[in-house]
Amino acid sequence: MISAIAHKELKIYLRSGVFLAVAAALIGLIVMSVVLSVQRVTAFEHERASAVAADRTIWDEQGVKNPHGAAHFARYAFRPTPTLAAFDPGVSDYAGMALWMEAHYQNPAVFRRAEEQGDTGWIASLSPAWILQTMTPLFIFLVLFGAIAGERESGTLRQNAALGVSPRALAGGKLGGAALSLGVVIAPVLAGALFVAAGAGGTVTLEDNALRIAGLTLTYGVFLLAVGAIAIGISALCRDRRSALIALVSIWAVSFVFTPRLAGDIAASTHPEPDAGAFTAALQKAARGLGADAEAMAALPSEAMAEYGVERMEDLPINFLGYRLQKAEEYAYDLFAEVYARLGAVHDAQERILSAASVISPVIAVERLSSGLAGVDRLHQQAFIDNAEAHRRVIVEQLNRDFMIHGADASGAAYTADENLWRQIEDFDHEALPFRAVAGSYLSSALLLLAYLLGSIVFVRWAVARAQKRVIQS
Amino acid sequence: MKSITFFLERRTFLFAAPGIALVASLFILGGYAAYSGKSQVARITQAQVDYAQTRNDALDAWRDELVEIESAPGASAPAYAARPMSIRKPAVAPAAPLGDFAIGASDLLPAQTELSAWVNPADLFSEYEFANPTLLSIGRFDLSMMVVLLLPLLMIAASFDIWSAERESTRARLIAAQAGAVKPLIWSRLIFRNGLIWGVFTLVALAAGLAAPGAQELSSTRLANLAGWIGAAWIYGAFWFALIAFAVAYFRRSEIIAATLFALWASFAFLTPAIGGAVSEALYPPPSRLAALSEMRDAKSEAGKATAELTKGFLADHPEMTVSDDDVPFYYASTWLANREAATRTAPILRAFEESRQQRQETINLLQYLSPAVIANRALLSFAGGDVDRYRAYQAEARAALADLSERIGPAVVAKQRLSLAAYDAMAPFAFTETTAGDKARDLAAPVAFLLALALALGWGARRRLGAPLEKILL
Repeated sequence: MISAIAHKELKIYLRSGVFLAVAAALIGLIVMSVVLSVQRVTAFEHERASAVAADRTIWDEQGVKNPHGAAHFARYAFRPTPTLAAFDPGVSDYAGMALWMEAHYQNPAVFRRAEEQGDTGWIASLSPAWILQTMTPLFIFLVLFGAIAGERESGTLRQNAALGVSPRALAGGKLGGAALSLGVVIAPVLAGALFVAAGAGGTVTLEDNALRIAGLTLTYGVFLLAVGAIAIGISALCRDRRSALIALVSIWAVSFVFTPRLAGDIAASTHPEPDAGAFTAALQKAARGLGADAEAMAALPSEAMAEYGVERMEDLPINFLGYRLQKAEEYAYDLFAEVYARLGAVHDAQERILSAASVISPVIAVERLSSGLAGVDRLHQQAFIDNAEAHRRVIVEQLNRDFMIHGADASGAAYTADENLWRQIEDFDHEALPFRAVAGSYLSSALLLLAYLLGSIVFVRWAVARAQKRVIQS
Repeated sequence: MKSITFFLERRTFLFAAPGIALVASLFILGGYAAYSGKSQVARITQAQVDYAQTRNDALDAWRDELVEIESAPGASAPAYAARPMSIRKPAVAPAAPLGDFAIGASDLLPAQTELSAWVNPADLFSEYEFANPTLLSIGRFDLSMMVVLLLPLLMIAASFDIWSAERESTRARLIAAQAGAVKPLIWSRLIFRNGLIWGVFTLVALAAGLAAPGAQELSSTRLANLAGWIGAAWIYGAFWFALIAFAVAYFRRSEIIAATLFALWASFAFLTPAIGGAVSEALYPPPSRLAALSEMRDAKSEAGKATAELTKGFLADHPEMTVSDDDVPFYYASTWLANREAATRTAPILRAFEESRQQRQETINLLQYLSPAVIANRALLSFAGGDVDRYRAYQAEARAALADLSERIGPAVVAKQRLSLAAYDAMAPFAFTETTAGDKARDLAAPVAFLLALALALGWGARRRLGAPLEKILL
């Protein structure tokens, strides 16, 4: 019986002008977004490659100077854009893409593309993921609002019930038919979008791309199936097509449009970030850490003498200024970590509110999973920042050690180095996090989505049974 | 007829569940948006006050040192006291007069910096990117967002079946038989329901507008911007009113009217801005900040290398400046010279970047005519002061102020001398020039007039259709 109903539903949908129009619009939108997104990501990677090459040249050709002066001139780390960003850009437009790896200072990542988006950037940003997360549910609602309400209006729901069609069979058949007809449209488009995005030319392919693509397919499959089940369930609860349409569009507006923004606003108000001025002051304080610690400063000469087994400063086989500069760096590591950890804790608290809101707005959970799988969420951004900081420490230590060792005979900062040293400094190379390593962070979102699917299936069965009961009683 | 319509609407809508839910949700959401905006502005204002206060205190201490040195010309002063390179002036763009009505670009672009000759204009804005990118990507909830996205949706929900429901339930013939004409009934109902939505929202907006946030005063500037903001919102509302009336007049079935209006809403509010933004980015890509960064680093590096030559050149151009034998390190002068040279070398890069950005923006501005929501968004952000243009204007003014500071102190820095107290006092503190509400209105006149014309055309179309013979409207 289920397959017979599903087959009949499939036929009806494929003959429906509304369905075909909606399907054509959806396919057109996704194809357009894929083409534009791939072009965008390819351009970003081209820009990054040029910037990396230019940074290398500028660094190598900086001229003769003290190595610590070079550490202040420093190098940049540029964030690579993974290929799947063409499918879901995640937070990549709102997170800094370049990080200055300067001596004494752990800078924030700078240059956010969203700053160039103009005044409409906040409204919407076209990507295949955005279409699947926000517009596809609306399309599904517009196609399915009459699924049961239409049957009730035309009297066929009563006929079905009189024929002994069980609620389970009707709900299963309706859902199966909707899944088949929408699946015929969405599945190839989703697969195509992922395939094209994953192969975006000249960009960075993550090592576990196949796993991530499988995860994205599963995420959107589960999400859209749940949306379809909710649509049929709501249609069954409503007396007529008009009420069903209004109810579904209201659910879409509340759950998919306004709740995420409202939750974001509540999160930002409840856990405000420190003001930029205050935060910069905290960073500057961390940078001056050793200089401000008179006791630690006073202990440095004896520490240096003990480390190098001498009893007088003039017997040190190193340049003490270089030694002190390196110690200042090391002293600041924990201080910077503490300052950024405080900021990270605020961001975590904000995202906990978002996670709580995902109970009434499942699209928040989908966004989290999708951007995580695409390698473009805050967690992946943090990995880039952490890697850049690790590289900064290596670079600065390499330069300070050269100053210490080779500048031993020079007084103060008189020692200089040249291109031979600069060429020894390696380029920043960022390896994205393997998804398995961070999968636990997305578990709650995945479970919530799964619960949504199961709940929506139970809901649709209950709503259809209720509709049948009412139509028989009336 | 009018009193009967009002009586009916009162019973079937205003005091029924939909009307109560509508008014309550408008009050709750509007109240929250206003509260949230005010809290944000109060937080920003307090942070800026603290920021400016810290720097102004340091400047006062610096000036006291200078006064002391000038008052005892013969006495030897500490080498680093009251040096012009130590001047660090705050340059802050205060919260916009109506900043609590739209967050806009305020959580993305910098609104405070420190003017100091240690930095060159290219690096003036740094270290402000601390906001959570996840929240930034989601967007915020404010009064302007309510107007652009929520109010049209509420208008559609309240009005789409104003006549079709009567027609579908066959009450339409009864009403026509009793009243003789249905046109006044349809218009009255449309006006009543949408007037309720806009009346309640305007009350919330007026209350929010008249209660200035934090320590701000209710200024004439705020009132002028509030008038502009409400005017723009009403014109956008008029467009949706006319569009709904048009759909009600021309389409027969409730679900067709609702589906059409919702689809148009989604297209105007989401699809057009999203597609327009993506297409314009593909056709007119924003200038590469990474490329500009590399160019600027190169320019700064070359400027640094040339410092010795620059010093000779500067002193050759200004032989009157005798270099004093103060103990102040020479890197003060070399930094100033290197920064001046870097500013000169990076100015064309910054200019090209801004021109490219401007050209792109002009092209994108044409796209606003494809979506009333984009026009409304632009107008509301502009009056609220959350628009990107305001922050770009602030950046330009701050860079100009930095150039001015650098030029004023440069000769003294290179000559290893101090500024005179009179020269220091002649330097005005930074004050951001807000665009007046009148200038904003002039700037927005064309798109807003277009929106109004669209509303009038749709309203005229609806009126014409509803004026058709009764049998046409009833069938």
